[in-house]
Amino acid sequence: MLHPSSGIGNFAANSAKVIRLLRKGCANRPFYHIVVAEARNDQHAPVIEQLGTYDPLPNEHNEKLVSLNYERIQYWIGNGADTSKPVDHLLGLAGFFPVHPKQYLMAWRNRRNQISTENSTPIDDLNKTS
Amino acid sequence: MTDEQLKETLEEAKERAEDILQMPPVVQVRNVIDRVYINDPALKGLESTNTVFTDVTFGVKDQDRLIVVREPNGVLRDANWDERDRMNQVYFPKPNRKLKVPKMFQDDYLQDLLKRKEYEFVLNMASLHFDPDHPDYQRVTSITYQHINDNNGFNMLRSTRHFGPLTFYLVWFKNVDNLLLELIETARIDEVNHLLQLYGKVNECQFNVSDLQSLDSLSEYITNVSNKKGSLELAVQAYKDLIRQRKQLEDGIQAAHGLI
Repeated sequence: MLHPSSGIGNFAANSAKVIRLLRKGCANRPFYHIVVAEARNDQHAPVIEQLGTYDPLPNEHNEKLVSLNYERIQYWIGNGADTSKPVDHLLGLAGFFPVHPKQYLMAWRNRRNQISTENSTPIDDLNKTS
Repeated sequence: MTDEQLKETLEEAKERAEDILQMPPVVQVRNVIDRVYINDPALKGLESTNTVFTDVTFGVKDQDRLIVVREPNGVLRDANWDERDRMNQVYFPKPNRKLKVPKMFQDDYLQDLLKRKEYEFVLNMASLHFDPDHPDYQRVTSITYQHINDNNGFNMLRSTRHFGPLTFYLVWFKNVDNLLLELIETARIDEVNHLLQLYGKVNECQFNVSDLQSLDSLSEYITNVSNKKGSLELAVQAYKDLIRQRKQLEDGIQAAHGLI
């Protein structure tokens, strides 16, 4: 049966809830809804409520767009909902949560890789000098 | 239609007219947003693009909405006006407003439109696509008002919602001679007096405008302030002649009917 993507609002009493990303969009074009759902349900089950959206492909102004309904996110966290790691990452970047330690690690790795690629000499240059 | 129904319909029409004739506000250009919440250089290298976070909480006004940007160098800052306008239009679109600003507001196209005297169209589109405190709104409207003033296009805006802001613009920059000339030539002396009253209020000088049909304040303005004394005086003279001729005609008609 079809159900609204904004959520159906129904959930079992005392069930564990989680705020997570739900992949919408189509092949090769990811687009995510940020939703609160029952943790035991899979991604095809209707969600409790939609809390925002996340568009991971940068637009023509070189921006990734995230929308977050802070009021409802606060409500669900206050009601004991858990958050998945990608949502933790987004909320950390938004300044709503502390930045996730994993992101500091990823940033540091990226910086290190960039430095090592800059220092290494390309093969063409090696051939010319020899 | 009965008398009652007619009355109701007239009142409805008046309400509609009030909506249509609501003037776009004339306000100062908005301030630049440059608030930085936190600078976190340890996040440098994580992303190669900006990430814009928009609060879509129900019932928040567009101007109060929290919109923040995380830059690739780790700075978390408030979105600037350009980004704010874009995000508000993406998530809360205004009817008929386009996501991208139309090309008609670029200088070449705008000059072409003004040449064709599409003043009302330009002003309507400007008030649709920009907020009144947007720098581009003020640029487009002031160019249009200036063009109207230079080419005597006041009649195109008469009885529209843009005539008030046009008048205010001209009064603010003390450039009402052309408008006065047009008002005298079309024999609207009460409007001349209203205009001079506004001029006095904005520019802090006094004109005697107790009688809306008298020419006292106008002659006062011509002698003290005006830059186009010659043409204004000629127009006043022509107006006086017109009034005299009208009176003559009326007297003649009265005499012909045997009333005098």
